[in-house]
Amino acid sequence: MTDDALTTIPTTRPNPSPHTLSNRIGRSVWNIVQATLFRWSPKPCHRWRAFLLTCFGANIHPRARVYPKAKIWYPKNLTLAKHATLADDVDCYCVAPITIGESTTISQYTYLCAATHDFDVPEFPLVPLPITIGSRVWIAADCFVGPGLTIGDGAVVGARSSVFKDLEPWGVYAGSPTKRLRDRGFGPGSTNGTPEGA
Amino acid sequence: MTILLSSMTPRDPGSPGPRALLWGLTQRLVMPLVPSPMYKLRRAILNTFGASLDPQARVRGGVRISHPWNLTIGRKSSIGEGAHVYNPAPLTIGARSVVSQFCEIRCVAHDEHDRTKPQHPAPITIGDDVWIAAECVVEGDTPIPNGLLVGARSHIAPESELDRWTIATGHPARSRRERDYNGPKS
Repeated sequence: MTDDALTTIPTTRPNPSPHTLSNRIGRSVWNIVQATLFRWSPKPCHRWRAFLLTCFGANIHPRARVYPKAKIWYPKNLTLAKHATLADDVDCYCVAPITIGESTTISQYTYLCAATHDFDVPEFPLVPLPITIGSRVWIAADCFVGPGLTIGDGAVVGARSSVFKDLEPWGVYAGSPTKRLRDRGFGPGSTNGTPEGA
Repeated sequence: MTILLSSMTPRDPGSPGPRALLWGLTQRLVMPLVPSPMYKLRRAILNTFGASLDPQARVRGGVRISHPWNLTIGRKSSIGEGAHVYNPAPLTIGARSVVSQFCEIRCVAHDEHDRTKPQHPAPITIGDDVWIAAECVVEGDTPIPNGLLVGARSHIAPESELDRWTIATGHPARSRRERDYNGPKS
């Protein structure tokens, strides 16, 4: 293909922002709050951080735990149920809604990536896809969770795994890409019983 | 300023030299103060240190570059937030390519037959219309062909088999299927 054909791609600005003005202003203010009031708050002050996130439009249960070094891209797209935990250095790239269920733990350095690009067209537009994580899930340290995925209730993901496909409930997964290793020791059908609400 | 900096070459290859020391200070003290959307300023600083960035290239905040004088970025290409570039050998990125957030690009290679030998600088050339998705690792001596798409968290190693306009994933990354691209292919 000649260079002429390639120059037909508009080049006035490198990449015009796909986000609305209110989104960009909201994020700028949130980034300042996140770098100061949120980041510098003492570790046990989970209610204070839940309150800050609620002020910026997040749907967060007051008993959810978000640690001070966690990074939230846009609080409005974040939903955390009771006792859901985002550990230090979790990067929550919530371009699309990210929903995390009750008593779920997202361990440190995990990257929740809720957007991809449409790479079949030259404009390379951003494609936000929501992530839904069920209740009683544990995602161990430094995992990657790709866009548009649903992780079933009670699933466990081993450290440093990369999740690119939906995970079934009550399974133990690990690897890159993740493979199902076994069933979790408790949950529906297990001899060890079923937790309340499962 | 540019002439002054480019004249500062280290006397022996082992020592970092004044230019590298000055860049180290700039990277640690000045770059964190540049807000993420101020691409022009960041580009100007990098170009002062000998990088050749196209006026439409974008380097986001939080990117760490070890040797900016070995960096070339083409038109409309970008490096995402928090990426690490270790480039003692030249890193060349073509046009319209994207290196996503938290990627690790290492322009060094080991001796294939003797892993006890120290790693040596090895250039990386990234073609046009490439997308290296989030958290990938790219090692030296591996040319990245035009139109390649690398899935998130993949590892591009010397043993990777990469073809033009394909989608590659895995450790090491291998081309898995053709890209279904609607635009003009370079």
